[in-house]
Amino acid sequence: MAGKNGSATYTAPVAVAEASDWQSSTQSASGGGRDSARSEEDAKQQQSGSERQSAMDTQRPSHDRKVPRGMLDRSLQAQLGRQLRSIFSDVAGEPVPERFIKLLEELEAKEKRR
Amino acid sequence: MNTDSVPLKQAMLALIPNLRAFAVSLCGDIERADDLVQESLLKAWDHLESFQEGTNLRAWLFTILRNTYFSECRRRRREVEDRDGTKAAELAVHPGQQGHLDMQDFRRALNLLPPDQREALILVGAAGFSYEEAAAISGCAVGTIKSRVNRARSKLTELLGVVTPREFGPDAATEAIVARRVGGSPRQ
Repeated sequence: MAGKNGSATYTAPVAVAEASDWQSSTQSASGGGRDSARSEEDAKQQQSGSERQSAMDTQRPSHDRKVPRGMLDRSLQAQLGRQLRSIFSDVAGEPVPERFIKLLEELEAKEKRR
Repeated sequence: MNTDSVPLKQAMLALIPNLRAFAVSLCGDIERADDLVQESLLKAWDHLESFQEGTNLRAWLFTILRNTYFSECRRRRREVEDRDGTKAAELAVHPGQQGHLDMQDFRRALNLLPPDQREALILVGAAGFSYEEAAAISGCAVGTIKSRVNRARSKLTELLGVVTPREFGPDAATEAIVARRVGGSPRQ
């Protein structure tokens, strides 16, 4: 996520929408309409603080504090994203099983005999 | 061309953990996953000449694996649909009783997604491919991948949409649990 902070407060989710990150893409996919409606109102109240805050924490833009529903959804999405990645990375971190090392050796040996 | 097969073999070997991770996430079963990997490696080896040097070997192997998986799915379709009905019924009560999202719940929910949505979600959300790469691997349009990913997320959220006291505060959690138990009319 570092380095992907948008320069403007509410463009951050759009800027990271292409990232292969569950959470960041979800923001742009699910919260768009509601968030932008809220954002105007929020921007008035937090004009000075919001940009800095958002730059520090793109995963939870400041206006979320007034939208508990959206925050619930995002926390859940973040958790689901972590679980998905952990299923993948648990297995990706295991050493190559012996059967596959043998398989490739056999394939190679067969090719050399040809 | 034969001299090239040595570094290519090394590269394939290095990618096996990734292939296994993809296969497990896709089919939800480590033994079946390893069979898928084995079959995919054999196919890849037989078609090494169709791999273009300088292109993405990982994406190429993922493509072979997902094609293997989906043709197997088509063969098994009737059986799978039947089993999904049973699994869906089990899942409907499970998270409510548990009160939190554990990995078991998540694995079950992931397995309940339509395979094409699960695939898109894994490629983009776990394997780190871009939407464009995922589209190339799945043989569909970028927009199709995006919509599959979004539908997969909504479906997972729907299946696992239970709040926990620790994370979200007691009120919301109580409401959710009570609503579940008494069929939609929360009370203290």
